[in-house]
Amino acid sequence: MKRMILNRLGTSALSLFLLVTIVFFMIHATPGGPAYSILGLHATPQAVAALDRQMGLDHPVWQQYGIWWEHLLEGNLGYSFTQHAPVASLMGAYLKNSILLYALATAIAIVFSVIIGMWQGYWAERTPGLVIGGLQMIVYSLPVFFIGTLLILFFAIDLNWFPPGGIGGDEHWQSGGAHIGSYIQHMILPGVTLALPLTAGLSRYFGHQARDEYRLDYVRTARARGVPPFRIAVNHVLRNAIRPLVTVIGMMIPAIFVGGVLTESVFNYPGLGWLLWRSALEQDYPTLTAIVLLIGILTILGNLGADLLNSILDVRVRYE
Amino acid sequence: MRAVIPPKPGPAGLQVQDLGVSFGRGRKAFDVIDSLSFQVGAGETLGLVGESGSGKSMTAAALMGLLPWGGRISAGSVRLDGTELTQLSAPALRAVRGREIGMIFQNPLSSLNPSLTIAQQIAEPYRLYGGADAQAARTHALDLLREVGVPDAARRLDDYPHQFSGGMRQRVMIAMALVCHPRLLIADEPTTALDVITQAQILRLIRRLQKALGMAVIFITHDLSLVAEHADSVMVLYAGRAVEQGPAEAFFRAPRHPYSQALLHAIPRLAKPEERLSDIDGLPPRPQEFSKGCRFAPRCPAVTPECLNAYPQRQGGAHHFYCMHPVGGSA
Amino acid sequence: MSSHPTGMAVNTRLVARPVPGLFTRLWTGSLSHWVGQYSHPMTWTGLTIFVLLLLFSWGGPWVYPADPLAIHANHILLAPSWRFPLGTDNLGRNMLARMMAGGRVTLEVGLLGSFIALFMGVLYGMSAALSPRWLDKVLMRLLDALLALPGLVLMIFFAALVPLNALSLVLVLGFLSWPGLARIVRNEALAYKERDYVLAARQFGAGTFYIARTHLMRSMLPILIVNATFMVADLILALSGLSFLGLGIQPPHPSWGGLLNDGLQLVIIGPWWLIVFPGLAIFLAIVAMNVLGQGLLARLEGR
Repeated sequence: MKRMILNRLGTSALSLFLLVTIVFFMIHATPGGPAYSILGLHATPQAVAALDRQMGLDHPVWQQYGIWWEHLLEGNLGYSFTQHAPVASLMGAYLKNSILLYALATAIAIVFSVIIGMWQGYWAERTPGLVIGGLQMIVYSLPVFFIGTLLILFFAIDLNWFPPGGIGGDEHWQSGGAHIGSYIQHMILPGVTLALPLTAGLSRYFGHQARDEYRLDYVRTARARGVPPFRIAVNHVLRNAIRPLVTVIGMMIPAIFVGGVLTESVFNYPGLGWLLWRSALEQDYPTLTAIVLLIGILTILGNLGADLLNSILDVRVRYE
Repeated sequence: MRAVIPPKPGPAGLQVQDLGVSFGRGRKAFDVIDSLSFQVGAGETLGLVGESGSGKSMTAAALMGLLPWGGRISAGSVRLDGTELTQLSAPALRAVRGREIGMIFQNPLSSLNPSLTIAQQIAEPYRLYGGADAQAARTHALDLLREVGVPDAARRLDDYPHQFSGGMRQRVMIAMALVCHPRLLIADEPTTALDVITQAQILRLIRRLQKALGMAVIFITHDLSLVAEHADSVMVLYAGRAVEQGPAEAFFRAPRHPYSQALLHAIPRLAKPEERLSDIDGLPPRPQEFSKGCRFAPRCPAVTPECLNAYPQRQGGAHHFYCMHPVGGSA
Repeated sequence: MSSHPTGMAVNTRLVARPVPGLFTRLWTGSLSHWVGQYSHPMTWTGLTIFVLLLLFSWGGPWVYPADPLAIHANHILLAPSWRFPLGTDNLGRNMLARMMAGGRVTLEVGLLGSFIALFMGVLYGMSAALSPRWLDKVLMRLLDALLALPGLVLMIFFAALVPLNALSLVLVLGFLSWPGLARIVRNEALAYKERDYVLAARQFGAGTFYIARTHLMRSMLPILIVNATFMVADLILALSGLSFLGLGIQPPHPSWGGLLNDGLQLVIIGPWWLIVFPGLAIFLAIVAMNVLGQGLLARLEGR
């Protein structure tokens, strides 16, 4: 147990190290090197040379690699020329918005996946189960940005129930102090948009899980003892089917980020994904690099957290 | 001990009359169980014998109203202490399953929920149908665990199934089946997964509890030697029909149906149980292939053309069988 | 991990079993037998939809020749009609012609990118599986770190760095989409590597490359085919996403994702035909490939 945790911590640390290294080489693999990346593709050679000197890029690569680590550990992620602020100071507000949105969408996805999955597992290989399976395939294949655009067209424009995008509160969304009701109103459409594909994938997984549990002997035992179907579902099947949930959510993290980038862009929701998109369009490389790093780190830490949580939960009950 | 359930009028025990079970609808429908009649009085044991696929477990499922999807009771009646079970609504039938019928299964580990403690599992129907509160249910579970001979029961209440050995798990299963003091206990191959010594202990335990509670017991097995030892009466199933049934003593003295005969000859003396049917060639037919004649005919050593034309008439009294060419000549 | 849960499942759920002579049967001409073995209603549904989309994109212009780039000030934002079956956009451009042109580039980039990703994935996965243990471990750790970066996030990063045209997008998509597949290939190869027939071949002096090419590749071909269909679906989605974000195919050249974004920009005046048709096309392409893959998978698993 202790060994397992230490082992898991070790591999995560190694993954983090490799990630930082990969991103370093990604920047250096860009045409013209990092100076071009910062100044843009149309920079003059003089400006590039000046920046190279300023950033120590005239040093050999291994020294630059050291500098890269040094800056990272100091929390120095560079300066954003388009936002006119140090990148590190930008991240907080966007990260907070993203976490709220992703947490909402994941929560919606979990609740509906459990309900749909139990239903699907109970009706497996019969008409209702097959219908649910077909719907999952359809929703899963719907692009997030298509769902988002349709929701805006229908609920924001035609029905005018929700705002078509942005974030609640005053217009200076970064400054916080947003009005909570308006904030929630702005979160509903993007939350649903992001939750739909997540639900399709998660409920499919959970449905298979529930189906497999329903086939086990202990369900027959419970039936033979007069336990009502709903109680069998909740007290017996769900209890076992839900076990891998933490791990699966850990594995879903990259999908959440991908969906998040697209959702935030559709709804102009100022989160990490939106910032990634804007900095890519404006070729703001320091910000871009920082976000890519941050997403990678969050993914690794998320998976680590899921594994650790799971091993703690799993100690109590284990199959032999 | 019986305070939970008031006694009902009518003959005690289980009466099954002309039970039939079908799957499918319309022209695709087929019977898996056909014209099954038997009774088990309170305190008596019926041994239900047959190969796998003969309909033993399907019979048990039909009695409990737990047929797999697509299956239904197409004919006959099932009466437990005078109550007609086939007419009951789903909730009423659940209550009967919870209180009046207990069941033990072949594989105790997979039959127990891995993520509930023993105490939680034993007490569940007692709380649902016995109206007990949590504390009473726990005390009851503890009593039962002691009753079935789980050592150090108080400390094992909150253990999970995987923490028990095979024999102990089967004892837990028995405790679970007995939690509401049922009138009928169905034991579906309860000892197949156990070693010989544990097997004997478990069977002795079942018999002791049967005496104490006055339960009717249906003992489902493919092992005739266990039936000879433990059952008051015997019913041999083949391809969804009874081929021979009667008091155990009479049956074992002179089995009349060729299939029973073959089964008896196949009882392993020192051999492994896998070899018990090796002297009957072929396989039982599948339900879709049942013919109108005797279903054992294709494998029967005494087969004649008329065996294939119509199902044989019942012969004999208390000990009766369905065969045109019984062992030892016609009655 | 590829962001595709079904693709993920391929690896764990498939019991490794050799499918001898899959190529051979193809070459000897008993195609019908092969088709029969892998045919499934879902496979045919997916294949039909995808072929229809290909016909629409490449065959369409013969039936309905119109310039996708021509601007007409006198018919702006017209709803679908006989003259413009899919309507016109805010510059009066013919939406049907734009959909056909957008389909060509979307499907082209998706398919070509998948070839690259498939090649890279097999190369990396095979190399890891056939390497000594320590190298395999190193390569797998590297893969883990790579997989921590979600595909689309990496694509956005590189899309900001390269000049955006169809060729560069093929390369970006192809070279960033292989890690998930590489892991599947490596695990499959490891499973087959210890099989008796492979060990036997080794004993007879067969080289590593020979074994990889003949035994391992042939054994995992069905799994590769299934994953290739998911890969195409993923890349069509990725390209459409990038184009939707303005980081893919650049205007005025149409692509399905770009067209959908044009629709979103005009959503306030509500021209549904600019949103529904491109969105539906992307959806159909993706669902076709996913359904096709699921059908193949169902057969492989013996359902």
